[in-house]
Amino acid sequence: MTRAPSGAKETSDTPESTEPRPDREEERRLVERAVAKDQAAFAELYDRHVVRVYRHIYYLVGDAREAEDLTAQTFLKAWEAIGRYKERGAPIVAWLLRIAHNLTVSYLRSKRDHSELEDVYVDHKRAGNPEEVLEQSTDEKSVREAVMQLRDEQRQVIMLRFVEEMGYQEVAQVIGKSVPAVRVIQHRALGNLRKIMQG
Amino acid sequence: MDRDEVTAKRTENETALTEVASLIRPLPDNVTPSEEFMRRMRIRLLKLEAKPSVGRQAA
Repeated sequence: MTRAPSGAKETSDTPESTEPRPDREEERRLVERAVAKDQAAFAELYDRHVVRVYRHIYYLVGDAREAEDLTAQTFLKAWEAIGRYKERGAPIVAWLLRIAHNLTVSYLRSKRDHSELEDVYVDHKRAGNPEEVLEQSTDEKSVREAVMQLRDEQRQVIMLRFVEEMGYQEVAQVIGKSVPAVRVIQHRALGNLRKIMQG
Repeated sequence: MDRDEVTAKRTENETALTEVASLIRPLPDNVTPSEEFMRRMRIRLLKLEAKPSVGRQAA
């Protein structure tokens, strides 16, 4: 077994309780209002999920300004599409992350010069020993570059599992696959990462 | 390859994958959008027009 992300829900292979929780109920009502094109409800969903969406994009692009632009595009696109949104058991953030991921991958594909991506992770406002920060940044950079070389689906699973620290069930909902399929994709992705990193 | 060798190989492979997985870390907590961006974007979202549906347009 590979490492479970520290914050990921290990028990999440089993379906979550169907008992409505107040926050979930509240979010469901917000989504209903947003689907009916209620801007205030949509803005509240934005408040709840903007940081998560931004961080997902940031991992992929490694640049704060680009991440903000793509975050803005994600929510504008979500607003355009929200009228067609159908709740299928996955939380709305899963839908937002899917839009964010697709937009970002498409943006990165359209960028001819990927050399700009070399500067990642040096603008985290980290405190601490500069040498440690540099060493950590270099490690993270090489890992991130390896992650970027994975196929779309494998990259998404790796990001959701280890960067977003989601459980298998949640990842399955985001990418629209079964939990066993997510496990297989993760296993293959880690194998490919190993090969890439070994050069 | 006998069964022990297969098991050993599999364990070795799993260990290697665990090591790879341990290198993938979440972003630091301070990676967040700027307050200014979040504020501007929220205002922008509140000003978005709800597009009239086809039915409404026809009416």
